Amino acid sequence: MTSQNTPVQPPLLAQGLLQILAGQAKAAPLLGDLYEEFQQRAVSSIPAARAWYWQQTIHSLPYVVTHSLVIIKLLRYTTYASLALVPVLVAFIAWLSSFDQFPTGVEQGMQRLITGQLPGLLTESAIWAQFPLALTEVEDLWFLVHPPALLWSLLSIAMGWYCYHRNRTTTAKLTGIFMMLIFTPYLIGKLYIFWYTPPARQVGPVLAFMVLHICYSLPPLACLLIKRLNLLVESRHE
Amino acid sequence: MAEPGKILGEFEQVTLLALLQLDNCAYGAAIRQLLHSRISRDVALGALYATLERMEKKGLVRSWLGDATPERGGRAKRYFEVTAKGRLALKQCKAALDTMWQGIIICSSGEMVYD
Repeated sequence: MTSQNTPVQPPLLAQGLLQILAGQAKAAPLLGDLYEEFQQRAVSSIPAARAWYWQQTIHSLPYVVTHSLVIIKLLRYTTYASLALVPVLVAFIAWLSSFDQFPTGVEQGMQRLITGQLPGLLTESAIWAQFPLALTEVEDLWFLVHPPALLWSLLSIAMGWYCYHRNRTTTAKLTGIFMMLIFTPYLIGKLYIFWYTPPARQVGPVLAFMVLHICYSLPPLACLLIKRLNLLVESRHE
Repeated sequence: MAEPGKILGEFEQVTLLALLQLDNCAYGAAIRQLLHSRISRDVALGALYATLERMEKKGLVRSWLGDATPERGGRAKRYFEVTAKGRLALKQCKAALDTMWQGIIICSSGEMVYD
């Protein structure tokens, strides 16, 4: 308290950060404890009390973040958004299966393709412009069937299903495991292409494996994660 | 019953002991200050709440919300209390440690010898 007996206000930004991340109900006891000790410390030195408040806020962030409804909701929206990757990749494969040549404006397209630089290629608007035409020209869907990728995806989904039903797997761990299950073949494929620089005709099956595995495994694993996040949001609202 | 053979972590033990010492007035700030004054442990409130909530899930402590007070900016205290399971776990932990300490002598030089 100050000499006029009016309480000193703790740093508003730190308070706001805790309140936004943890939510009103969860943050109230924590903020109350911080406020109480802050007032005691402010009697001897206000700057020291403010520094202490910030230090406590920063050290409390791991607790607040793991219990944050805002982060859970953000993760849920990100998971929904990640599903948009599947049609993009399907359109990309459709375009590749009827591939003739790279559209003008895509520099070193073939070089980037055979070195597995797919994210870079997918940012090229010239390639995106070809997707609708490629999809309308598709005669059958056999280009989407890749037995090794299918088998690997089934194993990944089974592993994800097992982790989902294990009581001890936290949501943070589950998110990490799912990311690993979805993207590990892609990373391994990238490393294989980078280290062994195989000839162009051998890169095709590797790329197909990398991309189709994401297409197969992302929807079921994302649905499982969304289900878990919904349960978490419900339990936090109770 | 506490799970036999499951020893509490060091911080869990000191937190449970702090709750017992504070009797029915154990809440975040009081527990933090007690740990600081008794064992010079300057713990973050977030870390303390994380431990308390983990122990609450295990059934070692229980919590309830008190009334909002002006000296806390109009926010309620969250009180914690050790359950019977928590007390049993503490007793088992103490018994295990006492057994393991038997025969260990601390010399004046600070060295430990087993006799």
